[in-house]
Amino acid sequence: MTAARWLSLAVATSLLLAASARAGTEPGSPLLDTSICGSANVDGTLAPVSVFAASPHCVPLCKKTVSECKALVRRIVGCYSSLFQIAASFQSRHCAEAFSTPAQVKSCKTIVSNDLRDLESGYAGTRASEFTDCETWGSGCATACAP
Amino acid sequence: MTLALTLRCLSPGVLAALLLAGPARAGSFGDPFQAASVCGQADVETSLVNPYIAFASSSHCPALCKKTEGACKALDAKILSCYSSWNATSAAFANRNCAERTPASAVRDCKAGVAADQKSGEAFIAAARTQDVKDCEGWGATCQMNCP
Repeated sequence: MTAARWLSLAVATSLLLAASARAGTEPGSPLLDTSICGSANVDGTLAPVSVFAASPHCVPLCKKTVSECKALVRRIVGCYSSLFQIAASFQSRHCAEAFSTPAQVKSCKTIVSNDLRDLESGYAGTRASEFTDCETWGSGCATACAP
Repeated sequence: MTLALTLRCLSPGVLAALLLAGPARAGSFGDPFQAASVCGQADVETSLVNPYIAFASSSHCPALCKKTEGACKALDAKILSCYSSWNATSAAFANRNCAERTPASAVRDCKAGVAADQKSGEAFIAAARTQDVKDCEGWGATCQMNCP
């Protein structure tokens, strides 16, 4: 699920970055790589859920891991949010240069704005989904703790 | 190889390995956070469009170059901040591991080792930040020189 969601985000980002292509001139955004903020699939990089099984403090350690997992997700998704906003900002400026009539410029900026709104909706969903994945890891971790 | 060149050549995976390097952290339950590379690619400048042609046909070229340089620095700061957070989290778990799994007489040494590892990681991140800021500024300067 996670991979699919990030794939859809990548596609959406491509659409945003392609706004200038629709405008028909040079690339509007100088940001070519839209994966620089890393992967919010943090739970996928965690140790096995049995990592604290031998510890007398197993349950609180599981909870701490869930908390830190969510904090990392928040940071990474926040980085993507900034990235998309920067890209959209460049695209909007590009609209003003690429078209000569006010109507064309407005139409171009509307496309950029809609793309950004879709992306914001997408990464809000991704954050919620990744939080759930962190919690699922935590549940498995707690279950693996010695009774 | 110079430090600057070394930093430029580092992949996120190598960075993660460096952050985990140093004396083995005593204890047994280990660190649940295995891959610092989730934080992404700090050298943002390498992912930017070619500065020689970026905005060469724009009437607002200098402003756009400057804006890109600022965005480059801002994104880089966010990514390195994530690495710094990851490093601190890793150290926090290692410290708890010291307290729990190491014989009492060795707890202090264990925690000292963790502190040294964390400091080393922070120094590495700080060096990367300095270099990346220079790279973003270098991109901006090249971009400006190629404005009409």
